[in-house]
Amino acid sequence: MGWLTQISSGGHAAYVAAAFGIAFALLGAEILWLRRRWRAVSGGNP
Amino acid sequence: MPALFAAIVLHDVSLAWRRRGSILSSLLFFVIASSLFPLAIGPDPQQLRALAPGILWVAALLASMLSLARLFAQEHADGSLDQLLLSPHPLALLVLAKICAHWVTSGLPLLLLTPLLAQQYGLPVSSALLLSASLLIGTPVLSLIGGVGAALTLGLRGGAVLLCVLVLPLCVPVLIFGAGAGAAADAGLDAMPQLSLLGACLALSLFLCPIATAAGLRISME
Amino acid sequence: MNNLADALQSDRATATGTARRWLAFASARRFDPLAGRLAPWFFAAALLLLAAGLYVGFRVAPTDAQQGEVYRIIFIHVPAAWMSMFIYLVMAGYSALALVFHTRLSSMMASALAPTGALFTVIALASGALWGQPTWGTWWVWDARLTSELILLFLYLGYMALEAAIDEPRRAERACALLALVGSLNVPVIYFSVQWWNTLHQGASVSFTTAPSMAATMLAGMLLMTLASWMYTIAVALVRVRCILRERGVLAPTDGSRSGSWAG
Repeated sequence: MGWLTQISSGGHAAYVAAAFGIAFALLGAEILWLRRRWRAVSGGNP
Repeated sequence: MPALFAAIVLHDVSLAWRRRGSILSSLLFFVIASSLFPLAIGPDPQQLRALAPGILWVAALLASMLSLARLFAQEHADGSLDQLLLSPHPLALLVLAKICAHWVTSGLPLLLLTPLLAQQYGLPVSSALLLSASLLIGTPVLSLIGGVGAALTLGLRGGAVLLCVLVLPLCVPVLIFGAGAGAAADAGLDAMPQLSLLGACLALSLFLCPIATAAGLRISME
Repeated sequence: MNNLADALQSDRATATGTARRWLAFASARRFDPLAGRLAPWFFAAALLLLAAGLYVGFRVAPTDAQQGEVYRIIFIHVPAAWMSMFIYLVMAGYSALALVFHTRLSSMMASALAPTGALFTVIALASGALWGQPTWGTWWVWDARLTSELILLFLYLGYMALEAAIDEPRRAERACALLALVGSLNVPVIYFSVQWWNTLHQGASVSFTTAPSMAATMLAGMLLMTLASWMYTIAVALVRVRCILRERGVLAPTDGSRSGSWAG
């Protein structure tokens, strides 16, 4: 885990984490929303 | 062909003149909006003078947007829009005539008023005149681009706001070049680059926008 | 349903050889099961490329001399920005197809892409802000690229607003297609004017275009992440267009029930 400590020691780790976190959260939300939309439209087909 | 063009322009202008209340309201909006900024920002003359071209351009842009909503509204309401669409003459040309008339009743008064309003901002007369020149070239472009938006949002509820939302991003280049010309003039720099860029925008939109607007009208009316 | 499929294929009668073969996919009945079968593969490809990209971006690429570790935001910021612009171009392409060939499926593809494009624009803006704050001490910079991204977001949202405002599906599709075309013609002009505005007003002291000098590994990481986003976009668009086909009544909900789940 040496590289992990090295990376987070550079400071500003929170910003990097936030940027990627926001991106994945938004894309994940899009996928979940799409799943709901498909279920609603395909009459309950799995 | 030119006779028809002139006839449409005259017809629309005289119609608008008969209901000059709405022309005066958009002019009034322009005056009020540009008076709001000093109240909000503060009376510091240097700051106001520096901001004047930008503020007046934004106010002109918003005033144009508001008045564009009624570009096709009257014809749409009384059914004469169908007649226009059935006409043997190229729809793009008829549309261009209507947009011309619209500019005469909204853009032209704005730029005539601008030197007066520029006094509020302490802009010297020479800069104010150049600012008016930029509006002279730029406001027709706003009317042309707005025409496309008016055609697409024809008859929709909340149409006026939606028109603004659609058209304002497309007008950003005109705003940048126009306000830039005014600011350059006031700083004593050469404003010709901005004015030529505005001219290029005008030439391009004169060619493309009537065609797009005509297509939009057919889409909205089918 | 068959009449509709025939109507969708009506232009095939006038098309020649290979054009006819491609136009066949303009038929919703042909396209839908294909989309259903392809989507899971694109999702899988996206995941693989994402893993590779993250590995290269965090493990392989070195620490930057000037910006330290924070520069690694580039591995999400630049791919998102590229995708946001690319998706808009593709939307414009589909819109042109829709207006010229009168194929409803083309404009539905454009509608399917729009939300994802808008999302990538938001991600580009957010990651840009999170990069700007530690690097230049400010959450927002009127940098030419970020400002263009902001205007692009307005264009996407305007497209989606117009679509939502028109009840009649055919009118909505054609109006949005025209809007996307007009917008795409405008994008180079907007980009040029914003660049021009930026160099004139700012000392251009801060700029996202002055990226850290690119080590080959950094470029590789960015490319992998971009490919991952591209695969993801295709997968999501394929699923979304299947939803749109059913929502607008072109296909019945039970169509293709043999294809099973939402992604396949």
